[in-house]
Amino acid sequence: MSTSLIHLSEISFTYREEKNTVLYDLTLDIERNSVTSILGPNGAGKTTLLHLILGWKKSPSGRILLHGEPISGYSRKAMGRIMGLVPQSEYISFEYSLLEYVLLGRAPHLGSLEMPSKKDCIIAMESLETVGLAELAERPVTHLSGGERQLVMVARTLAQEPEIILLDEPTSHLDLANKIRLLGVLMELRDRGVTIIFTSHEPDMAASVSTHMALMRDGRIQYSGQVDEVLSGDHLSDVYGIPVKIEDCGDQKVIIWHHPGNQ
Amino acid sequence: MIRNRSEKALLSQGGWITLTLFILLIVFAVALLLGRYPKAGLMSPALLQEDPLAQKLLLNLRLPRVLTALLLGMALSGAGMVFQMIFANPLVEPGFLGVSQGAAFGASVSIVFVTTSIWAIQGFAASFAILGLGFSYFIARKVRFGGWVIRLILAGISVSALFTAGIGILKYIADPVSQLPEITFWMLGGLWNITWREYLTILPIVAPSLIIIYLMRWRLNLLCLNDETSFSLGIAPGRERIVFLLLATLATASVISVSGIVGWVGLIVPHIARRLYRSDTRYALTGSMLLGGMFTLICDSIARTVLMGEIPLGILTSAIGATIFMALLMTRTVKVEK
Repeated sequence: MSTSLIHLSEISFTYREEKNTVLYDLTLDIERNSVTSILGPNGAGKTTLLHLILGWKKSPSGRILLHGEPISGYSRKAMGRIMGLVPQSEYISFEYSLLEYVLLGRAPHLGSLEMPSKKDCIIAMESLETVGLAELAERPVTHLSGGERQLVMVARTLAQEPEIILLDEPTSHLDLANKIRLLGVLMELRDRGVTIIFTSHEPDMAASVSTHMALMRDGRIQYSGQVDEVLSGDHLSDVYGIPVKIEDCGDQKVIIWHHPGNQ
Repeated sequence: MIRNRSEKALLSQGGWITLTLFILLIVFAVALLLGRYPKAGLMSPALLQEDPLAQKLLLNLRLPRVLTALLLGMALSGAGMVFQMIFANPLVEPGFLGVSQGAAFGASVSIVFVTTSIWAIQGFAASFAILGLGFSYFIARKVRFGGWVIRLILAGISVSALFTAGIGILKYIADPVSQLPEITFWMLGGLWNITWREYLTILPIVAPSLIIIYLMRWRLNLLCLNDETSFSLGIAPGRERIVFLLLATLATASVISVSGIVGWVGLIVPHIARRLYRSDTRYALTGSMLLGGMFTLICDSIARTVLMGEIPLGILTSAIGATIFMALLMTRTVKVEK
């Protein structure tokens, strides 16, 4: 038996409509209180992997264990309290205020007929404060920029108070300042004991907050483990199929790539 | 400080709901006193104490009709809100997904082939309404292009058209003396033959459906999110959607089994409710039900008092509803910011 928080073994996945397999024979362990970044080219199967861990998609083979138990054994509500998802983007049809929207994160803590209480409101406001949007609490979500929306989705997941947070390309719409703010939020969560798994297209940014890293290509995990072991120029070049180098710049790692015009 | 302000903003919505309830009670009282006895206009409350005919009229004719109008409006606009949330689209109402036409077809089938008993009509209307919804849903899943909502609406339009054609055939073969007027009444919508019997027949279905929807109303918010998001929030989106849809369809089919098709209420009232009480269904659904009740009550009062004869209610709600809808569409940029 594995002692890790989440244990995936021999997972595969095929979309019914398209005949091609998205994930092959995938095995991965997530340690408690770790920050794991999943990198890889577009279409490598990163989002599908997150959806499988969440239980939203089901692997026809292998197994996914959470605290040593199959995830299918957890009730929906129990799962909602353990794991939260920050999707890549979300279509919002109605003009919710930021506060009303973040309050939705309290759902797994409320009974079917229950309404959010004052305590839930306070938790929601604190979550908005954490991502720096408390000032806008009464504004409609539909008026926010793409980056602010992404931060509101993070706040909603914070209000959920899960022990594991999955984020799908959380920085894709953020400007530099908000990116750094989000990294700060992730580090704060990690200090609070939350386990984090996120996908990213920015290896250097991901490396700056991660303890572990997995590199995917064509539905397979090519390299995984501690960041120092995984993040190397050779590995990245292999996964992305273009030559890249990694340089140390102070305490940060920087990706150096060849400009296509300079060859 | 910000925290207090936000909490206040959330709680102040409750005050608006109370105000709406108060106005609704006034409208209700006025509707009861309004009519053509002893002369056109408002009956004086003093008359009620001395005139036994006025008492009888009020208790046996007006009260069940006014109560049914209220229930009809609450059910249609409550169901409209449910549909709009579940399909995450403000342009959906039960009528768009084959529910209303299905119910009308079911009622016609009952009138022509089975019996005109109110129970049978209600049963047939409800079954075919659910069948219509299921059929639209099934077709939408099979459509091979477009987003989910556009597929549903296309499917709903075609299923509705199919039912309308069916109603046309039934009308053609119906007995022009006994059956045809019943079907025609159905298509126009109206409450002129409502008695306590009709009201008490639909109440046991409509009231529990609306109460359950009302109690679960906050969770409706979660169902307008992307499926994977609501799933991650500890919801089983498929299961909860079906519960809400069935309740909304039951309530709708039940009320229109006695009223006939009353259009536009389910579309327009939730729109107005969202503007007045904001989008959170905790308040918007309650507000929608209250406003809906008020809207049909006012329309029905106009329908029975303005002309010597009756104006069919469905015609009035469509005319007024469509006008308000146009106005809303053109003032889209005007936001209600409190």
